[in-house]
Formats: sequence, C-alpha cells, structure tokens
Amino acid sequence: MAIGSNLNAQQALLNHQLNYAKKGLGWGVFSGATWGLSGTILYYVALAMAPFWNESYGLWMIILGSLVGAAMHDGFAGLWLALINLFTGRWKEYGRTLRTKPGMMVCLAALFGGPLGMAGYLIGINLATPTYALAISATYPALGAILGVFILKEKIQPRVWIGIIACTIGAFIVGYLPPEGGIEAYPHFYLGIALSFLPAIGWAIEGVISTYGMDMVDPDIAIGIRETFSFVVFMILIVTVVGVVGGAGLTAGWSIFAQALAAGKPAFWVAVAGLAGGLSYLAWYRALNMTGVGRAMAFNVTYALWSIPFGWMLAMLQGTQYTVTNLGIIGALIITTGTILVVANPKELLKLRN
Amino acid sequence: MAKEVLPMRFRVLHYAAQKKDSFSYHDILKDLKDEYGGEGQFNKGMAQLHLDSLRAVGMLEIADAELDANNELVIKYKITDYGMDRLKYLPDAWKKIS
Repeated sequence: MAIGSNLNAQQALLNHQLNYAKKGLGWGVFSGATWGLSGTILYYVALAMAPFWNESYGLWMIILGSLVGAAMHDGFAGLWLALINLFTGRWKEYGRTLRTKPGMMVCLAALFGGPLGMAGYLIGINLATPTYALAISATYPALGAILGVFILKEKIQPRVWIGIIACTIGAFIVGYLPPEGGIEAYPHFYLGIALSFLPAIGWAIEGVISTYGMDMVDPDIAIGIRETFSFVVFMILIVTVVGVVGGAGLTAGWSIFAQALAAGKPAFWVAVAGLAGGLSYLAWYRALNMTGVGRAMAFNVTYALWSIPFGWMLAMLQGTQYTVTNLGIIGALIITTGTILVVANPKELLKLRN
Repeated sequence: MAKEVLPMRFRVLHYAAQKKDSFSYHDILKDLKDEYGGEGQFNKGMAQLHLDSLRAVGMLEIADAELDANNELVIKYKITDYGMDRLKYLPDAWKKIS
C-alpha cells in the first residue's frame, strides 16, 4: 500500500486528518460562544423592547412575546443560512434533501429543537434571566445520554453517571436562588426555571434523532431546513394557539410580529441574534459531523458560561445592571464540568469517533 | 423516467458503492460533472469535504494516500459495510447499485 511505502504521504495524511479533527473542535467551541451571545442579545436587547415586552404585559403576553421572538430568531437564522447556502452554490440541495428520509428526519428533529426547545428556552430566558435559563438548558447532553440508553440502547459508563449527577446538582444550585433583586424583581422566576427544562428535553431528543438520520446530510443544508421549518411551525401553529389559549386572540402573535418588523429596531436586533444563533447551529451541526456527537455537545454547552461575560457586557452597553449570584456562577460551572464528563473523555479528544 | 438528482453527499456515497476501485476527489469531479457541473458547490473543496465527513462518520475508509506530481496529497477512499447499509436511505430509483 502506498501509505506504508511513502513516509511523506503518510505524514501528510496524518496532518490532513488532524486538521479536520481540530477544525471540528474549533466549530464546537464557536457554537458555544455564539449561542451564549445569541441568548444574551435576545434578552438584554431585543426582547427588552416593545412589542416583545411591555410594562403592561401580563404573564401570557410575556410568553407570547417570547414565542414570537423565538419564531423570529429561527426565521432570521433560516434566512441567513439560506443566504450562505445560496452563496456557496447549494440552494438546489434544499429540495433534494427534503425528498429523502434523512431530510424528513431533520424536519422531525426541528419540531423538538424549535417549537419545543426554543419556545421553553426564550420564555425561560425572559422569566429567569439568561444565565439561569442557559445553565439549566445546558443539561441537554445529560438527558440525551439517558435517552440514548432507552432509544439507542447505549451503555452508560461510571464517568458518565458522575457527569449526569453533577448536572442535576448544578441545575438545582442554579435554580435555588433567584438573581439579585429577588422574586420581586423576577416574579415568575421559578416558572422560568421550570420551562428552562423544555429546551433540555427538546434539544436532547433533537440530538438523538439527528444522530440517527444526519450522518449523510450536508450539515449546512440540514440546519437551513431545520431553522426554516421551525419558523413556519412556530408562526402557523404555536404562536396562534398560545394567543388563543392565553385570551389575547388568534392574531395577537402575528400582530407582535408585524409591529416588530414595522418598528425596525427590535426586528434588527432579533436578526443580529438570529445571525449569531444561526452560525452557532451551523457550527454545532458541522461539529457533530466532524468530531462526533459527544464532543460537539460538550463544547456547545459551554454557552452557559459564555452567557456570563456576554451578559455582563451587553447589560453595561444597555446601561442596565447585570445580575447573577455567586451560586448561579458556581452552578453553571458544575453543569458545564458535568456535561463534559457526560459526553467526552478528554483522552479521546483528538480521536474521531470512539 | 430520469432519476432525480440526489443531494451531493448522498451521490458521493452512491458513487462509492458503485466504484470497484478506490477513488479520490479527482474521480468525483470527473465522473459527476454531468450531474453537478453547473452548480457552485461542485468544486475540489466541497468534494473533499464530503469525503472527509463520510470518512469521519464511518461510511468511507481510506484505502490509499499518495503525493501527486505537485506534491499535493491525494487520498483514495472506499465504502465500508456501514456505508453500504446506509444506501437504504436513498430514494428507490437509486437503491440498485450496478
């Protein structure tokens, strides 16, 4: 075989594979940082503005505003990704991929990641502030590991159990005390904490389904489909139903959507968050393909930590106060450490697929 | 009836299943030109990326690697059993491998 007989070629091949693996790790870290940025922009800038939020809003209107924000976030992310795919000459791949079974699995995964995950995530962020909501949602790989036992018949090693227990303890510590200002400043804090488990569940299921169907789908196309499909389901179904159930009416959510577009500035900031969020998902799907599910998720969930510096920075820029207790930071650190234990063996970081 | 065009990564896997010998991105760019030649995605970088990704998830494996006359690395691939198994996800018209 030529590899054995040609040392230079062998070295070049090793370098090629290492570069590929390192790029995957890079995309994983990038996905964590950009997700932390996206969440904090949504909370501190976009969703703090009318029509997403208003002093007079009751709980149902705060929820509806958050849902429209989530829908617009995914819509803009889908639009940015479509532009990227258009620019790289892949726009025809959308239709082709949708006609395949793995393409349909991407849509199914989108239902769990979008309308279930993103909905709970943004309501959680709004009611319980980003650091808390992000830290709880970051337990999704631990839940994914448990789901893997039942659905993919995977075995859980002792290291992984320790990680899962650490995540649970961390989530409890994070949610134990509301941010400074207490329950008076954040009256729906504990509801926000409870809803923050929805993204953990939704993204865990999304990860499991994606793993099953995604290996042969171009990740850039998969995420383009996922975000766009999520936007459509959000606007047609979720926002409309929640408007009716909450007593605001059939078109209340659409009205918030139209007002945000007409006002310009709120839509602009959701578009910026959608760019960060879309790039984050793009990076995550690429990393899933390049370094394996476990490692990609481990780097992705560092977003709970990234939310702390970004939150501090954006709160300063907005002239508001950034509030997180020491317990919140400690909990976020424990969750991140636990998650990394769940999904990655540090010794295997440079080896593709276990 | 003409077969529908597959997503390019699916087509690379199908191509790998058809090839009796190992192949590189050169072969893909030569043999699939009629199907994808008019598209912006049909270039060396994307072809190599599909090969790297399919290799990373275990559907292809490296058969050979050599340096060409320009001292550029050319990696040759072949399909694995797992890759063959995943052909079940192709549309019916594409499932039969000649």
